[in-house]
Amino acid sequence: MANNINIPATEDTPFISLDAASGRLEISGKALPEDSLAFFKPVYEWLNEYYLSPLDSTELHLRLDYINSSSTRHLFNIISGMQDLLDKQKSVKVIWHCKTSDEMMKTKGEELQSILDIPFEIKEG
Amino acid sequence: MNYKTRYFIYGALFGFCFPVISSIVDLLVQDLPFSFNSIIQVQRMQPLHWVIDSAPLFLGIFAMLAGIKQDELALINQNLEKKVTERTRDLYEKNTELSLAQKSLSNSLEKISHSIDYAQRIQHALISNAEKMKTDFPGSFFLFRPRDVVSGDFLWYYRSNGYVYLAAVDCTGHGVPGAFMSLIGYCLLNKITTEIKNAGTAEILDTMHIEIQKILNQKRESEVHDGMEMALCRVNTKEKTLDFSGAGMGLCYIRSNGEMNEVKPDFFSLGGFHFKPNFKYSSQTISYQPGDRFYMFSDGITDQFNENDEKFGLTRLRKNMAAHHTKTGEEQEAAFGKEIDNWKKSARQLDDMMIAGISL
Repeated sequence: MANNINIPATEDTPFISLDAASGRLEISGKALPEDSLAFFKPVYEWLNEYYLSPLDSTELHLRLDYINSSSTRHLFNIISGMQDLLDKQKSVKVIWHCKTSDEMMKTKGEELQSILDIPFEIKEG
Repeated sequence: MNYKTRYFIYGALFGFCFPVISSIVDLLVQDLPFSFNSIIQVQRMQPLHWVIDSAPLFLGIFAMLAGIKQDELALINQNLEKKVTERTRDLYEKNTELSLAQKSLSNSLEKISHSIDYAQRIQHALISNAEKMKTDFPGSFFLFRPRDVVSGDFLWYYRSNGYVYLAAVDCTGHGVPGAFMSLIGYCLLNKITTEIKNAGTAEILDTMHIEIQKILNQKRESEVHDGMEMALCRVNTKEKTLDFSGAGMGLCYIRSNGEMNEVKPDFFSLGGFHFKPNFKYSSQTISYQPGDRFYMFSDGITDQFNENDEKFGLTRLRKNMAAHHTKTGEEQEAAFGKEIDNWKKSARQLDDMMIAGISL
């Protein structure tokens, strides 16, 4: 089983928690790392290991206040990579949390929801 | 001589005063002559003298004890002084090291910033082409606010065969990596529009996407997913039509009667991996009237926080467009700049900002 990952938030990078025991993944805060690939690399590695023996149900909670364009590309890869789990008949859910006042993040969530074939829920508040 | 010996001598000498004085007093009281024999005599008669006679010994010992303490203190003091000297020397060495490191840091910083200033001149030379848009279409403007010295946002302007092409481009990253990407975008736009005569906007985006993938060797599993968002217009000034295609960046326009419209872009930006195979960009044609204003902008503006961590947002930008669209190009550039400054105040700028307004 993959080891849990807990990366605390900084001014430029989000909090990341990946829990293999509960199948709950969370990314929250502001994502504008100078080198986005270096920042998301541990997440990709963890997911690759997790996909070898995934739980029956996996939830990805996204609670982002800001995400720059290169991080958006990585997030998109991470979410579309979850198709692997659906192919293995596992349950997957992405929950996009956004503030009601943040129209930019709400729109971003709606765009992702419309383009992805993965269960995607938007929660405002 | 140490304190121990010195104090013992002082104590013993002081103590010797007691037997001397007591003997003299006794001699005077008994009215005896001052001689060695008389002293022996009074000493023998009065046992109290024996106690007094031991004074030099005891006072000497007491003083010596005080001297031992004093010696210990002196030793501690000496050690402390030695430590202070050592520490001072250490501090001096550290200080020298630090100021050397600082010198080397500021040297590196100076070199880097000179190098970036140089790069900025190259980027400006390329982008200055877009300035022609302002003279060709009076009332147009271009507000450009890079986050760092060089930028991943740029405006591209090109005329060919009666068509006017205009693109607002927001590359992934900002600063130096953004500027690298912007050069790729700039050169590809030139190449594609030169190679394909009268290229349509969707055709240009489709070709751009494939060309970026080729240049950066992007495959599904590769690590470099970089690319760019682009809003691309092709204007036919004779027919008064504007074709638009957007890769992650849309178009807003206001009719001269104040009616506001928006053309949504396709979701996928250029470069990297589109997980939908055979995806093709769409295009829309808009007929325009003199006085219509078209706006393209990067998300650096709408995503900018204020001091209360609130975002500028699209609604506010649309309101700004409605308020300023009848102004001249210069006035609009100043007005939008002011709106952004008033919003941002001392908050950190997170991304490159750009807004282009075209008056056709």
